[in-house]
Amino acid sequence: MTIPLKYNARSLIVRPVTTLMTAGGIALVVVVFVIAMAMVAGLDAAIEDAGSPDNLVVLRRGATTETVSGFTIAQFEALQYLAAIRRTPTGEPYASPELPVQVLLDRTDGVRDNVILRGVRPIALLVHDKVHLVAGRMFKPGLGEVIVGQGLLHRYRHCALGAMLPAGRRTWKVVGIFAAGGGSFESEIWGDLFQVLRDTQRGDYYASVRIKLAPGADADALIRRIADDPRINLQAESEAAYYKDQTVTADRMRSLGTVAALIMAIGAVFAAMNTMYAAISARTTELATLRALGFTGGAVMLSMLAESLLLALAAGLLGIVLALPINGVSTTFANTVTFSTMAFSFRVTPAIIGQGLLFAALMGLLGGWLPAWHAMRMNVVDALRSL
Amino acid sequence: MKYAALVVKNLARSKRRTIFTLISIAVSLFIFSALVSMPAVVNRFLADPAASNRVACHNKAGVTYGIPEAYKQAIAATPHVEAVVAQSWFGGIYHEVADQFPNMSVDPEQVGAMWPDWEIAPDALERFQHLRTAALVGPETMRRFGFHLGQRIMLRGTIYPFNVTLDIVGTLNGKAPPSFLVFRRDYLEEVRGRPGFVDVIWVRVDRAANVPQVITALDENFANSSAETLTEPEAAFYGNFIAGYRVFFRMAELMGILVVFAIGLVAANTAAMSIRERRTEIAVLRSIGFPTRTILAMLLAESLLIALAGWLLGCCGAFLLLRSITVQGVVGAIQMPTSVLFIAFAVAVLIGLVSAIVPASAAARRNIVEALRAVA
Amino acid sequence: MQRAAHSEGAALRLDTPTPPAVELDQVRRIYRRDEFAVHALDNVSLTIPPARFVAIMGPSGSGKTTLLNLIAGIDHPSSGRVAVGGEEISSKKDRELAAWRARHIGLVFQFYNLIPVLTARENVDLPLLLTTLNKRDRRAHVETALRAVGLGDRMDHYPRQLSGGQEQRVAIARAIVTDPTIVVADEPTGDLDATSAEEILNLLGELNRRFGKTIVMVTHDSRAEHHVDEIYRLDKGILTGVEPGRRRLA
Repeated sequence: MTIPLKYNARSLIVRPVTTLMTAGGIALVVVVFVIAMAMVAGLDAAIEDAGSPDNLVVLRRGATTETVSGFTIAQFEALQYLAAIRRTPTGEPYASPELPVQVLLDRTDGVRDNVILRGVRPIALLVHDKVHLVAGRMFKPGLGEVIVGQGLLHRYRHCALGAMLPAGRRTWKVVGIFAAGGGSFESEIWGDLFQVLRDTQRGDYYASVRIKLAPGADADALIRRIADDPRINLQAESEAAYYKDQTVTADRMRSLGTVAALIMAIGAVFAAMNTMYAAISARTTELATLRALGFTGGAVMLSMLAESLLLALAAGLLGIVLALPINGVSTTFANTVTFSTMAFSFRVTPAIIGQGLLFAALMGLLGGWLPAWHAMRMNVVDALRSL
Repeated sequence: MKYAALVVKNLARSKRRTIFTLISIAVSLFIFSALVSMPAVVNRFLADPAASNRVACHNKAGVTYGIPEAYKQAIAATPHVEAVVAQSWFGGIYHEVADQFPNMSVDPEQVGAMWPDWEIAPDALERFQHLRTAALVGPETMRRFGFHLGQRIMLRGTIYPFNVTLDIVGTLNGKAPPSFLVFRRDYLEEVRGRPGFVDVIWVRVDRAANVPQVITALDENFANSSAETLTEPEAAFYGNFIAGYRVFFRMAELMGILVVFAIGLVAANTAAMSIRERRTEIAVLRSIGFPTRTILAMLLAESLLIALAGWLLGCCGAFLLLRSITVQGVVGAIQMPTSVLFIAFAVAVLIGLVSAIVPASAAARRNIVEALRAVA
Repeated sequence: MQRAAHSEGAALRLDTPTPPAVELDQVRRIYRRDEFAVHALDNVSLTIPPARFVAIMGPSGSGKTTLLNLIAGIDHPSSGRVAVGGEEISSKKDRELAAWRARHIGLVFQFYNLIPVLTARENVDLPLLLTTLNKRDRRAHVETALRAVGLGDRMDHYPRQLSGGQEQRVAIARAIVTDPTIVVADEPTGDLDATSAEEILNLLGELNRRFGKTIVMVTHDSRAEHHVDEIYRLDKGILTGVEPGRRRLA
């Protein structure tokens, strides 16, 4: 025989101030949790969304990222005509040699940031299938033209279509704006590979090659071939694996957010315990009467736990509603791997909402456990006498 | 003070509640001060006056672009310049890919003059000047990899297709970033076989007041050359790298503020509960003749005591914890600045007072006749 | 008992002919309950001479407690004048009243109203905190008061360790410890068994006799008639009569 939940809901309503304050505490913990997780989800997405499933990244052996990789043009030449690489109808391989360099750019708010200027060849738009122009056109090689990721628009000066953008040692004309499905490429500037190469004055080398597999080609065989061929001698891995390794930034944020929310949750659990103890002591006689009517101690304990859970879940919902406006807010963050800045958007995913509610429920159960146990152990005769 | 005993007795009335609230506040202030410490540490680092007459001269296009080594002579000849050290990033790793830490090469001659705040021992400095493969290592990196003085280590190149073998001849101390490793640039240049470009040229100016003048002189000197320069004070230079973390710091601050609201709610809830339970008692005290303000003061003192005990526990806990752990990176160890202790103290006082003021003043002013009747 | 804390009050009384302990002049007290005005007291005038032990009796809702609250200075009359010990209190502000109560009134409640977290000694010490007495003097006063109510051996007990009668004795000690002008008791025997009630009434009578304390007690306990000098009868807010108690006879 269980005590109806209606009883608990009404008990919460008759003490509105205490209920609201306790719920507020739990709600704020959920807010912190959701915001931190939404940031992590946004960062993860920005990094992971950059990759395509049938693409490989080729780097110098031992290099962990593009920014610390470099190899000769001869190595690239040896690589690009391998059979496993997809070709265009005209026979051009889907192999995009690239050279990302960090350039200092003026933000609209007056600060300077490091941004990636990526030297590419026109084939890059085919290899990076998530990248597509949303305004203007592709740059023409050799004319000092660039296309700009839409994540940079409005955040940095001189990024609008048609603007003259000083980046590196020279000034470029912005002829196109591109999107990359929210991935980190959207925070980059793309220009002609050979012009970027000349601009850096660091000799002739590429940092990476992105290749797209031919349909049905064996990725592992290709990776082995790239490593073992003495003329190539490079290391390749799938874009998915490459970007997976780069989410350390997000991982750090994830642990910070989780730890902060957990520690706050400890505080909230004690606050919830206070509330439930007060709720129970105010109702000693009432609960004793329920026991005298024939409800078991277990039923009383369950009822008190349910009340705590109800309070916490309501608070969790409140917290999620409070944190929801952060969804879609876009901002920039340092990519600690490339030492450059990337734009990302907070993402409150259904999974995060679920986790937030679960988190709240957990606080409710932990906060209600001891008081409920005490309510069960209460001596009915003594409690009735105190009337 | 004769009321102090009364306040203490009241706190002991519901020990469980007092302790729970105390823990709740302590835990919240703990996380609050830890969160707020992070941006504060960086701000303090950027505002360090010891670095105020050190400037970094690098390519206007970005640090990766590099500037000709030959600029050193021109810079050294500029008025008010006391020391010049060129620096090239190596970015090597020790064994594993995950073993990343900041390591770079510098010109050995004027290291002591450039970074007196690194407090390098004179004999270490001398060995650094004499041994081509010498390296100076920050304490955190020493500890992390179990290095010892005199050890020979190999760093794997990531940017460069070669490794370097180094001999640890001394440690970096003082305000040096504790994760840094520096070795000699002439050694790197030799292995690199492509001399001529450096990432940054560090310049020490004789007086902080002359910094703007030197910056202008250098940047004008190299204007319209193949590598135009951008010269910045050390803080601004590191600021370029830290700028990207602003969101992170703003998040930390935002969370800190949310935590304060959460503690406020918890404390206010407790105060309201404990005062509501005592309405009759408070009416009795007033009927005995206790003035309203005395009662108010006692109730506030109670709440304040809990909040301050929470501060002591939480903040000092965070202080000690942050002391004992260090976080790798350019910034080095995260230590709680004293200012955060004070901020947290102010937060505790505010929470102690604000949380109790509403229920306490209501109870202290409530009609005695009705409060007394409520019991009967 | 000695008047230790407030000698200026005593000095004042020596100069003038002793005023009545309590004087009410056409006192009305009207409560507003929603739309209705409740006449708790209607045009009550009475004079209680000093050093008397009097009872105010009447059925529930007759205005007994209201009358007591007015005398104790924890409520204000809607009109009329209340004077205690010759001092008009009806015109005092709340803050002045608090200080006045501390000096002149000792209160005893039906449910004792002791602070549960304080020992008997500490409860009795409470009103003394409002005086300028030092710790040693306060201790002496507290012990005198507790011995006077017969609790010399229970000083360090907490309220929950005492019986109802003992708790009420502690409350009485708390009421007399400052040597107030009058002691005001609201149903002091209302929550006690017969034996304890009789003991408390005897104690109050004895305090009145030994220390010349004016005691005004609201009660509907008929036993009280045997202990008091006068009985003021109230009904529906009106003073219906004053009759001598049977104390002398007892």
